Formats: sequence, C-alpha cells, structure tokens
Amino acid sequence: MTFGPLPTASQDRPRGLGYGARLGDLWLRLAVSDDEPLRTYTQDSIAQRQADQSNVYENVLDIGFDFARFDLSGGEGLDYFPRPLREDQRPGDAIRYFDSYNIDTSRHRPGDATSIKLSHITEQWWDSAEAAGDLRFLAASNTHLYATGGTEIHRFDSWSDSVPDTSTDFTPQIVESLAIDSADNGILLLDNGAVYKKEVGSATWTVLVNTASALDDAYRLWIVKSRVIMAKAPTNGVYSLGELTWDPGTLATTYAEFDTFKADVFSVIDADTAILAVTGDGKIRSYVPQADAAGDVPAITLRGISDIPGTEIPYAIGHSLGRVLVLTAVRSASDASTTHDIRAYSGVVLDERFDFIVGELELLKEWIGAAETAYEGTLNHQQPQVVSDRDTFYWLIREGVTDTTETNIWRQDVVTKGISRYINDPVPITDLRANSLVIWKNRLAWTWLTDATVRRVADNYQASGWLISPNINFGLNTEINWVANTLHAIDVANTGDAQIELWVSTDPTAINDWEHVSWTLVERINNQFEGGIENPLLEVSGATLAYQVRMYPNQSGAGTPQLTRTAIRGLPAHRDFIVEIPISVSDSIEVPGRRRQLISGYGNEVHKALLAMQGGHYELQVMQPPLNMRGVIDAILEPVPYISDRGSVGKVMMVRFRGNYVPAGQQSFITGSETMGLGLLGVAILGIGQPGVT
Amino acid sequence: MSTVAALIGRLNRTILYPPDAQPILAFSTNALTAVAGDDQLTISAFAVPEDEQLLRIGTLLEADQELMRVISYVPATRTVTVERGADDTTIAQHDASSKIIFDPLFPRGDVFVAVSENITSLFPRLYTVKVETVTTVAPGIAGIEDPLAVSIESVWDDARSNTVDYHGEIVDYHPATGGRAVVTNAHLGVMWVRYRRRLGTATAETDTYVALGLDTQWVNIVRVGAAADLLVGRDLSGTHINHISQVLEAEVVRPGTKTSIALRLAQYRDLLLDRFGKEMSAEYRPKVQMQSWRNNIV
Repeated sequence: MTFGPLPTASQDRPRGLGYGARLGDLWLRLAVSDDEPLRTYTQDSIAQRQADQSNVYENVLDIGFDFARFDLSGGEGLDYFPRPLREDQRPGDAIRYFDSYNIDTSRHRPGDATSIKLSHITEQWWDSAEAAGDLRFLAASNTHLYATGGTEIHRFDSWSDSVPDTSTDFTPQIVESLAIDSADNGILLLDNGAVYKKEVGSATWTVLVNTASALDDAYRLWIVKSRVIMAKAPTNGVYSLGELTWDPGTLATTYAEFDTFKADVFSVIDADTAILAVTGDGKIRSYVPQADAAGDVPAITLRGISDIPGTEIPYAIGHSLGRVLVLTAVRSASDASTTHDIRAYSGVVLDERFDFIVGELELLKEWIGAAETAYEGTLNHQQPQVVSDRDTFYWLIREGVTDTTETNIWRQDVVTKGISRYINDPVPITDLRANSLVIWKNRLAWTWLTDATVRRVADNYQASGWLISPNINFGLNTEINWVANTLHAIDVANTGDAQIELWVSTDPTAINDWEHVSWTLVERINNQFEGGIENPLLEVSGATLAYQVRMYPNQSGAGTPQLTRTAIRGLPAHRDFIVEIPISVSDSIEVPGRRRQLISGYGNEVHKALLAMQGGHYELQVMQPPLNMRGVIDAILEPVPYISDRGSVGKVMMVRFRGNYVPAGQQSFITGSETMGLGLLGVAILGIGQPGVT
Repeated sequence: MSTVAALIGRLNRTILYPPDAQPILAFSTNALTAVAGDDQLTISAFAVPEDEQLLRIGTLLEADQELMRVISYVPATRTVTVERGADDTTIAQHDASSKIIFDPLFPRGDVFVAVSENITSLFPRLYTVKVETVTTVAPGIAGIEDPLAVSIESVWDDARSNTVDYHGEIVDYHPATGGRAVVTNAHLGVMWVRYRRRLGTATAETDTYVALGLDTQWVNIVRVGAAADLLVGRDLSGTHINHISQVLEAEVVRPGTKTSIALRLAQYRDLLLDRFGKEMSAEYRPKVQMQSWRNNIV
C-alpha cells in the first residue's frame, strides 16, 4: 500500500479540520506558537544582492538605485534601461542613450575628461555661383579639395582660403564624374565620354580619352586600389563595370569590362580585401584582383554577391577598420513617393572561403519616411557617400527632427558600433539637398545641391543641443519614487554664460519628443560652482523616468560646456509583502476537538510537496489571521525539530511567501498558473529588462 | 441507566476522551456478522482527508469491543479487508453505521475490564448490607440465594421479641439446603438476617449497579480507579492533560504533572476509598458484646 495523495481538494470547513493555510491547492497545518509566530512584513521589491562586481553603470542597491552615466559613446537607440543583461550580469547597454540632437558623444581622447559636448555648427564656405543643381561633386585628396560645377572643375588648397586656386573649364561639356585618390591623382569624365586625368603635383587636366572612344556611355568613375573603375550606362538595359587601365606614364587607355548587371551602380569602394560595389538590384558585389598564371597585372574579378533583404536597395557603402557600413533605401509608400525608408547596416567583409561577400549584416537604425538626399531611384548626378576617418563613419540623412527640411550628419563609432545624430545642417528650403559628403583635412564638407554652395563644419558650436536618456525602470515593473538627480559639468565657467539644463519626464512616450509637455526642468547650472551634488526631486513618481539634458554654448558660440556626469536616484515605491509561515511537517494530524494522530511519513510528504513548490507562484490563504495573497514562494527553510512548552515534539518548516494582498472578494479570481498572469499575482518584478507596464 | 456501559461512557467523556481529544473514527456502511470470515468492512467518507492515510496494514480498528486489524485497503471503494477478533478480542456482530475507531488509545474491552476490576476490588473496604427473611429448613439452617452475601451481621426471629443472642454464618454449601445457607444458633421457622454483600464481577456492559452490589456513590471511585489503571504510561497530549487536571481540580484534587497523573488519580481513588470507608465504619459499626448490668448484680 503506497502513501496516498495529500489533501488538495477544496475544503468546506478548513479550520474545522485543523488547516491553518492553503498554498495553491495544498492544505497545510501550521505550527504557530509564541516561539515561532507567523510574521508579516514588507520588503524591497528587488532581491537584495551583493554589488561585488559593481561599477558606476550598475544599479547599486544602497539607498535606492542609482542611474549614473558619464560615457555615452555607445550611441543612441536605447529606449528602456536596463535591457537584458549580459551573461556576466552587467548591463551591456550602459553607454547608450535614446536620442540626441547636436550633441557630440564621441569617445574621449586619452587624457581628456569623458564628457558630452555640443556639436559644431555648419556654415557656407564657398558659393560656386553655378545654376541650381550644377555643383555636383566634391572630392578630396590629402592636399586638395575639388568641386565640379557645370563645365568647370575647381581646386582648393586650404580651408583658410575659400577661393579656388585653379579652375578648369571644359565648355561646352559638363563634368559628369570625378575621382581623386589620396595622393592627388585625379580623373574626370565629361558628358560626351571624354576622360581627363591629372597627376600629383600638377593642376593641369590632360585628355586621356577623346570623344570618339567607346566610352561615351560611361557615366561614373572611381579610383580604387590605384585603379580606375568606370561604370557605363545601359546598352539594351545592361549596365557594366570595367577597369580603365590607367598608367599616368603611358596614358594607355583600355576599358576592360569585368561585370555586367541590369541595375544602376551607386558606389564603389576599397574594402581592403575586396572592392565592393552597391547596385540598384539590391546587391553588394565583391570583386578581387586575381592574378593569372602569366603573372600579369591581376584582373579585377567578380567573386561574390551579397543580397540585401527585401526590396531595399543599397545606395551607399563605406569601409573602415575592417567594418562595412551600408545604407539602403526603399520608397516609403508607392513608387511615386518622395520619401524613403532608409536603413543603416553594419557588417564585415568575409574571407576567401565566403568569396569576400559582406556578411554579418546587423541593422543599426531605420529612418522611416526620411527623404534621403541622394537616392531617387533614377540615375542622377547626386553622389551619396559614406565617408570615414580612422574609426568613424559619417553620412547624411534628411529627416525631420525639428522641422521637415533639415539634414543631419550621422556618425557611427566603429569601436562601440554606436550611431548618433552628430551635426545638424539647417537646410533653409524644402528641396535644398545636402550631397557629396567628404572629409578634407579633418573637416567635413558637403554641397547644397540646389543653391550650389559648399558647406563645412565650422569652429563654433550649435546654439543648443539635447540628449534624451532611455526610460529608466531598473528592471522593475512598479512605481518608483525618483528622489534626486546629479548634474556635473566642466568648462561652464570658462565659456562664460554657457549653461546646462536637466529636464525629467515620467511619461514613457516623452522620449520621442524633446518638446513633449511632460518635460520638467529640475536643474540648471551655469557656473562651475554649481552642480556635482545631489539635487532633491520632489514628488516625482512613476514607473519610468527619462531625463533630457539641454546644453547651450556661450553667447559667442565659441565655447561649449562639457557635461561630465548625470545621475538619477530612485526608490521603489512598491514594496512586496512577505509572510513567513511556520508549517507543521511532523507526522501529527491535529484536528480541533480530536486527539492527535500520528501518520508515519505524512510530514515527509508535506515537506517534499513544499520543496517542489519553491519558487512557484501561488495563492496563499491563511485562516488566522485572515490573509489572502498572491505571489511566489520566496524561500523555504528546512524543517527543524521543535519542542513546544507543552512538551510535544514537532517539526516546523518556515515558508517565506512574497506577494501582494488580494482584495476581498477576489479570492476565487483565478489568474492561471501556467503561462501568463504573473503580473496579476502581485509580483512586482517580471525580470530585468522588461519594459514597464504603464 | 445505572449500567456498566453508562459508567464506561462517563469515564470516556470525562477522562479518557475529553471533548477536545476525541478518537478518530469513521462509520461502517455494511454490517458484519460474528463470523471470522466476514472480513470486508466498508468505511464511510472521511471528514478529515488525512484519516484515510491511517488505513495501512496493521492499523487496529475497533467496533464495539472487537478489534480488527487492517490487512488491505482499496481507496476507490473504501473497502478494508480486516482480520477479525484481533488481539484475542471476541468476534461479535456489528450493525451497519457502527462506529469504527482508528487505532484506539483505550480499547473498549480494556476499559470494561478496568471498570470491572475496580468494582470488584472495592470489597472488602466497601460493601453493602442487606436484610432478608429466611426460613429454616432444618434447625438453624436456612437457605440464602444472594450469591454476593459473604457474612451475617445480625439475626433475629420473626417477632424480634426474645432476648436470645442469635448469630450466624454463611456457608457456601450445606447438605440441608443443597447450596448456600445461613447457619444460626437457634430458632426454627422464619427469621431475619442482615448480611454483608461483596461487589460482583461484571460480565457484560449491560450489568446494573444493583446486580453488582455497587452503590451509586462509589461510581466515582471506580471511574477514577479505572482511569488511573488505563492512563499509566500513556503519552498524553497537553490538551488532554489540561482537561484531566481541570476535572480533578474541580473535585479539589491536585492532579500533578503529566508523568504522574495516573498516580495522582490512583491516590484520589484511595482518598475516596478512605472517605467512604470511614462513612461505612460510622454507619455499620462492628457489633459490641455487652453484658446485662442486672445479670452482673445477681
């Protein structure tokens, strides 16, 4: 005969049968006495832990939770903090934030303070006086900047002088494409197919191919690995890429076609191991120079093709430090739509085993409904580019943050992979488009296509900038009392009347709008003696809190304050109720009005059943005092023999139950015990990283 | 009803099974005959779910004075196969809806024996006295039917008119009567005898106090004495002891602690015995032989 089941059916008169509590559907007899009372108290909602590996990024349970940040080089896009923890239990996203505007979050250089600053302002540097749309290309070598405008090409030799040192006029032909390598070798294509070249140290363009050549349908040029790549317009709908064999000494001109496809080609770059081209058929093509047996100059050969998902068309590509950044576009709505959904992907060039294709593509960001400057789905003379300097990619995105006409320069830190909105360029006319981004002498420059001017990053700082943190919830799905903030900055006094403001909002949707009505100013510092200490927040309470830093330069715009640290402290407003119940796990069956009966092994069965319930979520009903709770069995203390004053020996097991009281009348409200419904059990924490229920 | 069963009932209620220490019981749903082979007992639904766990091999069940031992149990039908007449108890007939007590702490058969023994042992300290007329069948010989009669207190003739000092004895057998007889020193015909009666030995719970020669005021002595016998060496719960303590304190007796409570009950019994013994001494003084003063003068 085996031991029968424990009593789990519903009981009409549980107290009459000696039961003192019910956990789930298991009825239990208590061993409450003066020595082992039933205890109830409240406790912090989050489990206490040792902060033995803590750093400033972590939630440290000391007095509340501290959200402190000084390094935000991880870039934007983090909407809730914390996101799921890394395997070592540290937040992997501690250097990220949600959004910014005109804020420079670059990694600090060795020796400098870690801080965020205002971005630089932009300015018009040179007016070409060309007709609208005629200032087409910028290209830069290490020494000179070139701009093509209509029939002319202009050369500049210094940022300090915005007058071309030389200009060459090819009237009546229009300069259709231009390529310059870093050593200052140059090649350009006229609209009649004539090709001109320029050698290092010379400002003179000499003809390379005349109009009678077969190159009159060529339309774009690149210099990659000291070789000239030329794209030819379609013949019977077929585009081609070929190499223009180019030796500055011999002036040999042979066009060797190495790939054909039925789509436009937008950009060709050198990605170290391969030459990459993005084409309008949604592909990234990988070419490598391959030597033949005769030991000739290695021929550029197609090796692999990467496919971009869906209907997205890659229109710009960049390479730096082994990483590739790809921009794709797809029309937002119909073919007639003028706005596009732009996406940025990060990837790498795989090795020869994978035919050098671009792999490990990871979506960095989407700009839905953005009107990207360059890609219009048709062949035109715009030149969208991803440029890089050492460890940062830059590109232009036309998007509406404050109004619909502006263009922003975005950047990606190759080390942290974080992307951020870097510099705003306030385009004054709706269809005025920034184009042809280049880096020349450590400074970004681009054109305004419509009014044919060259613009650049200036020395002064933007008039204002803001940075919005993620919604901080410390992984709690509960109300938090936000008690204090800290704001610490340097260079405030040095820059005179610069200032920094801290705004907070408990509305989780406010992070999408820097001007949301819920933003409340809580601290402003405008001299170096302010800030750095905790500023109390009064009556700020919410499941989440986001903060917004607004920064202003001094009145001349020449100095920016540097924000070195922000911190927010919160205390959980919610506390769990804890009940510690001494449960009898002896073999004694005690029922009121009846003598005690021992059932050998019964206590062990109860003990085993309780152990199996540890960590599970249950409804708890205590008969006296009357308690109804839902929650989890937090801990079970192993049974200990207990000798009461009356002399009987019993075994007592302490069960610690954590949860919330169930309002009267809801005792029979079943929330389910299998999958969902945990939130209804009164448990505050659903796990680190879950967005809060608001 | 002044029967042994009533006395056992009172003993159970007041000391052995006080209100807050009732035995665990269920009810049979079938009748059992007084035949050892009739061993299928069906139990009613359990009020306390855990009680079902008690139906294991070897568990003793009690119905009336019979003990039955569990051999197997089928939970689905609540059918118990039992060994009838366990521990040499008498196999008896039990009606349906009989009380089935689980693991009885004080088997009713034991309680009956304890009560019976405590009644019997009241004699010779306590006894009853009865007066009857007997008729001699031979000179000085008269039959007496009362089996509890043990000795003659006094004898007198029917008219109680003479001055002869009659006396007599009771013998268990006399040839003249062919049984128990009163043997006196005189008289022929009807005479009166006053004799002592010992306490009878109960043989059934239906025996009455009168039949056993038990004065109703001695019932408490029997109750306490039987309780003392039964409680010796038992592990009693705190509530049980509290209850007995209060019962005894109500009778102005200090009950002592758990371990000595049976001894205290025994002392109480002796105290009661002493008390009633003294009362008996006052009521039934031994006969004192006195000479007539006038005879002495002559």
